[in-house]
Amino acid sequence: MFRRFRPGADRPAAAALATVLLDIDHSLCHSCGACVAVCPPVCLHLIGLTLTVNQDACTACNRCVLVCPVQALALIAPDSVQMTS
Amino acid sequence: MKPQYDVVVVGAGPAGSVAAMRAAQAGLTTLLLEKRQEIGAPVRCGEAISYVSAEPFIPLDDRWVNAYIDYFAIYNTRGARVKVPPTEPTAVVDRKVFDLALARRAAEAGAEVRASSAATGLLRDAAGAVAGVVVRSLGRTYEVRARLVIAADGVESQVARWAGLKTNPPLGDYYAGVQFLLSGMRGRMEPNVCEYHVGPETLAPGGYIWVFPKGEDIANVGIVVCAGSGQRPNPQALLERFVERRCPGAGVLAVVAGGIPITGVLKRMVADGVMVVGDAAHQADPLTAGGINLGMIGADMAVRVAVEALRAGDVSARALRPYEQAWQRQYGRMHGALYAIRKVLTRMKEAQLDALISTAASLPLERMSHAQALSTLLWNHPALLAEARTLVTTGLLLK
Repeated sequence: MFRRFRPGADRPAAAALATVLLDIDHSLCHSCGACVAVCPPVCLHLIGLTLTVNQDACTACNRCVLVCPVQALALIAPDSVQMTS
Repeated sequence: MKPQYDVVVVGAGPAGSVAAMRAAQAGLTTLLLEKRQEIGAPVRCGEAISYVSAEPFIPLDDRWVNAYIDYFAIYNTRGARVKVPPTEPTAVVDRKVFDLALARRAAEAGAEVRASSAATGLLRDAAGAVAGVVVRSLGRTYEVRARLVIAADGVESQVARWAGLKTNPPLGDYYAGVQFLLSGMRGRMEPNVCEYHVGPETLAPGGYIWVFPKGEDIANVGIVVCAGSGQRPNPQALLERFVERRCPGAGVLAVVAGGIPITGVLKRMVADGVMVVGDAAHQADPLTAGGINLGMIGADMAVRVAVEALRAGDVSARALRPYEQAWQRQYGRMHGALYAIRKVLTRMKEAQLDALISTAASLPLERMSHAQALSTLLWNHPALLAEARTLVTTGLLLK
């Protein structure tokens, strides 16, 4: 399960491997940037004060989830429709 | 906003404002950008500073001092405490006013200050060196050229990353923190004592909880934890539990969250046309995570080098490198020592740490030399011998 897609990898192939998406709960997020600082491929951005994620660049390394002080981030499985499509 | 400046500083925290102030004082045209709507808000720290080290940048002012600190008290989970006097006179300040006052000093020195203005990208010259920033300000986008860009944009520094510097701290060297500004603290704390509570298993994994008074009735009560061990600590829940026990019913006036780098500084704090200062350069104290003073000092150091480099017309990484060297010369060893102490502490189990603090609490530390105190502690806690070498060498370094 650790052989996830790499940033810059071919997207269609990577998408087939992607088993999770990074979910941001904006009602909890403080825009503090704690997650941005530890994101190795820089797929998390604070644009102004809004945290955004580039799912295509995310490698699901989970570092942002571990450091979020307010538990606003989670890796979630896409629903079964996406899995089978 | 003009199309061209000598120096553009991104981020108007203490490091950024000091950088802009010093640059403007040196006669450089300077722009200071802050992405948030209001400089100083939201407050992102415990707000304790040594005001003596702040003095060269901003003299002590009653408008932003909330409490003077007589000593720090380090508590274990059983309630025993060790009193440690501050090495320098220390105050808990109102960062909102403090940060704003610093930005005002930058403005008074001649820097142009713009809040609600985010850097959204870098401009580069034909050779690939950084030559300015793209700014999104009040609904419009500007291309602002700069001879030098100073990144003071905090732990999440995008400018440093855009410039190609490696900024990711390892998870074991990174604090995640939450802080409540509590009211109703009258009689539940000493108004001139900063409390630290340690308990690596039950209280704050890899970190600590603090209670910093901000007057008779209100206090910053916060927690930092470290996610290094792979588990996912929930600092917010841990803090709520602490507050529930310590001061049930206290009003929560504000909630802030953030991450703090507790490593050594970045290996590279400069790139062609860019310098990185403050939390963005990981200059915060790697033991206590205090970053205000060191950030301001780092900014001052950076600008001294920048002024020379700009005068000579060379802002290549090589020309800016004396900044890194100056930092290493003055603070490299201290940073290393504080880092080593934190590593020793994080290796200890809660029971060990509890026992150590209990012993230390029973000693008349203020009447003992460092060597006496250390040997007594080692005698009582032989397990510490494994760490004695680190403790002795770091003790010598910190003297």
